[in-house]
Amino acid sequence: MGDSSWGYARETLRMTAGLLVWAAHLAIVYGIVAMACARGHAASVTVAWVGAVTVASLLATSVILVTAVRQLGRGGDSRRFLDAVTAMVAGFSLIAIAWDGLPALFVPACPG
Amino acid sequence: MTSYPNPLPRPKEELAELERVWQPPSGFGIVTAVNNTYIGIYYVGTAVLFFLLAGILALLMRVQLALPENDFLAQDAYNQVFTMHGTIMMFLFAVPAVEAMAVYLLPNMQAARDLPFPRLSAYAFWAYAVGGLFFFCSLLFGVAPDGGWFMYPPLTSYQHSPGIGADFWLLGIGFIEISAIAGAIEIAVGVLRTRAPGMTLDKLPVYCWAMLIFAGMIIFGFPAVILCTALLEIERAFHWPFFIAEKGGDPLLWQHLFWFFGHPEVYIIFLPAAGFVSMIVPTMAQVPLVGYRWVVLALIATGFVAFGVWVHHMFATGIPALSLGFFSAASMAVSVPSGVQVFAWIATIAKGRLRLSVPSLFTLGFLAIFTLGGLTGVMVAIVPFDWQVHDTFFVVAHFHYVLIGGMVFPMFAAFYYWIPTASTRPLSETLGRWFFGLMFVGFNVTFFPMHIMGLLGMPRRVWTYPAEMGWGWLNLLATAGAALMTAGVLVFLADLLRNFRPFGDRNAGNVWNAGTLEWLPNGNYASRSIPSVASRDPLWDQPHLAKDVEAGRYYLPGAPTGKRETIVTSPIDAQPQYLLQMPGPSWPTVLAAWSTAVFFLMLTVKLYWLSIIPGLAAVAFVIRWLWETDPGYYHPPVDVGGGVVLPVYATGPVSHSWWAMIVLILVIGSIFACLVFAYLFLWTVSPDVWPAATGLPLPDLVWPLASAGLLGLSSVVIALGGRALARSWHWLVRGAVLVAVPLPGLALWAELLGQWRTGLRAPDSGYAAVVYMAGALQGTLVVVVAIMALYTLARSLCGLLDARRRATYDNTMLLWHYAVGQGLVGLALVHVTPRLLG
Repeated sequence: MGDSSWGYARETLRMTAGLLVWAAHLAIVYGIVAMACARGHAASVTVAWVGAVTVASLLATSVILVTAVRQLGRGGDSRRFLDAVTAMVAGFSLIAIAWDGLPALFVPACPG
Repeated sequence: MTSYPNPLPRPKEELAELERVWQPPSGFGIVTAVNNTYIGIYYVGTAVLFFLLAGILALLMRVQLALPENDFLAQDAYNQVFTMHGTIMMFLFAVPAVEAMAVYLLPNMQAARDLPFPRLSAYAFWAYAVGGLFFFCSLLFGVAPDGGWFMYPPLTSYQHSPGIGADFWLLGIGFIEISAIAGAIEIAVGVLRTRAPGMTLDKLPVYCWAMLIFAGMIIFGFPAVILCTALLEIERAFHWPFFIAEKGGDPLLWQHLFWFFGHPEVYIIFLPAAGFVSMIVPTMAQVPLVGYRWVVLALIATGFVAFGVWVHHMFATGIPALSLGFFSAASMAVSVPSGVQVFAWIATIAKGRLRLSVPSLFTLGFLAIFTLGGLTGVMVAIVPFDWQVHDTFFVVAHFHYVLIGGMVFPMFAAFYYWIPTASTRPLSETLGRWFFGLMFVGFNVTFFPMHIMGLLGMPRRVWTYPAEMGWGWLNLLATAGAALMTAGVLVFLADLLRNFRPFGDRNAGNVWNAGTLEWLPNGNYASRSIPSVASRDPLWDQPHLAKDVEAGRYYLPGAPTGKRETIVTSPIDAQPQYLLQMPGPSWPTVLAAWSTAVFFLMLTVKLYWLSIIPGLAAVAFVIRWLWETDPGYYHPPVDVGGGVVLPVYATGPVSHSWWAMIVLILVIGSIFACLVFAYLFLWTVSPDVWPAATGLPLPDLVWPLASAGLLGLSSVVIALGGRALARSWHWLVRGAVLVAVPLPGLALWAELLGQWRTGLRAPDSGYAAVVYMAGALQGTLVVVVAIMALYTLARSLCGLLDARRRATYDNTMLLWHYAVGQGLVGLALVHVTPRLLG
């Protein structure tokens, strides 16, 4: 049953969950800044929103990472491989989200 | 003692039957061949032809730039030449070449007899070959596009490019994109569903992983360029102002959509090349790849992060600084997975003992050149540095290091490596070494000076330059390098002429002692029997595998149903699920592709009425081609060996056709998602043309509600028809289809009439254009599902549809429900959003 078409879809979503959070994070922070600058919103509020979204994304990815790490080493070769890749993807995503969010600490939101 | 699925000796007639079933057509009928060993080679050959043509264009440019104030090419001709060079290299060489290699390699590497949709591969190939040649010929008539391979409006819109050059690009490339997507569907379903039994995802060759991610990137990346080419063509033809700032459009919308495709495109062509390298390096070092899991991680990570870097092509467009910061960071992050792969290859080389053959030389050349390109990539990811070198030759140097280093060198490594599987003779080591030497030296002499030219301020895309700028000697040097590369390519062609002998009964064999399944002894039917796999390098780990497979000891040693077959396996653990009967050579497929190409050509040269003829012919040929598919359970289940008895048909989620439909829906959904982005983007930048600012009323809610009601009703009727089919109530099924067919069209009519009655006209503003575009996209989908439903009805009337033989109905129903879903979201977008956002 786990190797059905739907099972595969579920497995793909699980394996790439970290990167899906990364993608959502980038899309949301980009949207926030684009909107804020187009409509002249306050820079401090914008940066606060970006920070909040980044922290929430880091938390979500951490949960994925911890869950995947707990699964590690169980089942046959195939299962172990899928769990290991899930954890590695989540680990990479954690760093990528932090790295992408970092400019909010140093760069002004909109051109002066 | 190993136990095999099938005992020896095999019946004598078994092999003869297998050969008969897979016999390629002869004479002129050879153009109808659909087998991967034929289509793959036609496809690669055509891609190489376009490489040569675009290479000649590059030489013309180098001759023009060799000296200051040169008049070898006039400015107009130069503009056409650089546009065509980039366009052909990216769309007609790079993407088709890697798809072509996949069509050829994947089935062999996975021990499938062919990819699951051989006629789709043939259609994709012929559409690309004929369409691509039409496109190239525009240059011969002086009507080629001249706005750069990225075709930025407003330069390329109707005011500034009134001829048909831009239309050639938009329609020609739009057409080629359809071919690329067809290939991606084939590859995605092929990798996931037609593997050797036991080839679980952890035992999948890295190349197959790379092609799976590649296909995923095409599925989500190409829709952006399909949408933006459609928008620009509509702006040019009907003056709907998507990109015209004075009317609330925005040229930057094009840049966002184009680069959302354009940057992943670089990785779309790099990942397959990285896949080649991950196969070649272990063989040449004679040790398994080091860090398999890390390499898979790198491929997946690249597939995602590549979509988060498109704005780095737009650093100089005035986007907010913080946004630039996000994309600058992502642009640096994307180099990490590439670095992981480079270290894995170096570690593999260090662990084994590298045989310095021609594929190894090209691989080492790739490592050196691509790494340099990657480093300059990190440099231009830094915003202030990018501002300095933006639109200079530094960028030209950077992307040629990445593209030629990252794709062309691995491609030639792959040619030298895999040609022994396709030819009775391998290519020459001596000529190959000359080829590599000339290419490596020639490449660096051509492109390294361009870094310096760029730093000295030489802009891109200039047809000439004054002598006092001091760029002359660097340009002359670059041109000399181009001559060396040309000599190298000529040596390669000589080697091909001398040694490449495809389509024979035998091949050169496992000349490198490789460990993967494409090196099994094979014929037109691929391997004699389909092995079960227990490791990543089965030929290394099971020393008798090749002999046993050839003897017919493994699965499916013959053609038990008397037709071309392959085993469809489960997506994760590759357990056999059913036997897929595959279609053979077909004229309708080829004629459909040719008709489609002529249809697009006629649209380009504005023969709109005449284009109806090839358009209808294409639809008719596709229907004729499909008519023989969906055979039903007419054959009893087959014992393929080892007690594995497989049904000879499947429908619903287990079926390969259902998977293809899901992938197609992802493509269509991505196009629609790009339109949603376009709508929101234009609202962000031009709220002054939105109803809240203009005072133009929104349609009365009765219109969208009626539209939504009709859409929902159509879905219910089609679903009820599906239930009726399960009970074989055929007249009810036919009635349901007939009732459902007009409903989505009526729904669209209600929506458009509602908009029209408010006085909204598409050419008036960016808002109006994008609202009607949502209708136009929905309209396209409505026509497609209507044709599919009527086709299903025709099959029902001919007795080809019943309670069990229902893949046609199930797949039509799937797309139908998607079309209804997209229609409902579209209605919410154009009616709810402006009420909420103002």
